[in-house]
Amino acid sequence: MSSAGSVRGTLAPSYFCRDCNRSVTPIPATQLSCPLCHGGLLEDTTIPVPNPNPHAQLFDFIFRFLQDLDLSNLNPERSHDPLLQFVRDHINGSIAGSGSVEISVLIDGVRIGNEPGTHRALPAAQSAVDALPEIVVSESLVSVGGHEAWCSVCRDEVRAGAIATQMPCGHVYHRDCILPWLALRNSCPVCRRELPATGAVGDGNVGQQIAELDGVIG
Amino acid sequence: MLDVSRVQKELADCNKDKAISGVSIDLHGGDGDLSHLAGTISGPVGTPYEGGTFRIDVRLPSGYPFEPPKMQFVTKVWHPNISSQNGAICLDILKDQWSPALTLKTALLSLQALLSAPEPDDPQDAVVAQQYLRDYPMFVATARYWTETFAKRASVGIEEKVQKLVEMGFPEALVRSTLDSVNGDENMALEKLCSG
Repeated sequence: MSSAGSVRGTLAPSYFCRDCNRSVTPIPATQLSCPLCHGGLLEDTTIPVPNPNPHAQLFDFIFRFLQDLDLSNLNPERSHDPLLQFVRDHINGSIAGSGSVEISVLIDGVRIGNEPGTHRALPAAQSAVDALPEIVVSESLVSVGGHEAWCSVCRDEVRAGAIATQMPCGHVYHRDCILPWLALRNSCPVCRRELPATGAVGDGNVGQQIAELDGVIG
Repeated sequence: MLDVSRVQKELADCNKDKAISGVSIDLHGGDGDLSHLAGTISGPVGTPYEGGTFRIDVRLPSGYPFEPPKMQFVTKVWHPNISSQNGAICLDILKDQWSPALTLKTALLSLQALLSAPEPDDPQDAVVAQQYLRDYPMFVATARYWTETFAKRASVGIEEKVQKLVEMGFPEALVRSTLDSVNGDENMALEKLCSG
């Protein structure tokens, strides 16, 4: 476990990646990009930011600290998680209230090998996808004009008599078009009305945690 | 796999009414690569960007349209939500709010709307945002100056410059990207092409 180098790195960050929500040192290149996500949304943090995330450096430190630990033995039940308890006990003074939610998500991010910030995309629950009806597209549906006359994913026409998948909001898509999207997100592409998400059942309140995290960071 | 058929439809759709919409999109190079496109938006009337033509580098990931297009300003622009250094854009629909029902055209129109309505409280460029909030007249003057300097000069006679450099033996796609990177300065482009 060597963290000295990485900790030293965090003390003199020169850029803040808005995708990863943390300080980074970009790879020297002609074009600035984040070494983690290769995104270009970098802020020069040597210049004072009007509305910075005050926890960014602390998260960065904790994230690196957690990365160095073997997390495989930790109890997945968060309330009994000794590491989380330790973190809560020791830094509650510097992060008030909802801080522990952010740290939970951070720990999850390390545990499943992802960077924080990638948790926003929740796939639709398989049961909800399986329950989507296949309909025969009627003349009246096509003639309503607007969204229903064509599949918004492939932008091909949906003709009367064709088979299509209908979302609870009424928007229809080719089955092969909507399934790949629902494997990534649980929302209707056109109106964003949501289906139940994977993890919404039987995995605590991940959605709520992310909403809270958004509130804190955003 | 990139949905080629959809991209081709989008290119045609977007350019159908480009004179009215003020946005257009074309292939970036002459090699038919549909994953690298070049967009343009005209600066909205009544803003410091009026009269400018802004070029946007557009890269489509293999997961498009399920993943958002990657867009970045090539033309330098002074705006709180666009990096004055590298043109990176802070806009939710190009990140987590993307939906496959959105298109290249709607994304470019959103960028045009962003030029009209900056959001300094969620900045991409901290210096610009600070100026916007503390000294608005100076922000407008700077943004206008940048538009005059970078968004107008680059588009004047660009085809002539491209032709001249291509005749010297450089590939057209490389000539265009090099000219873009130096904001249309023919001499700097030639220097860069020769050294590269």
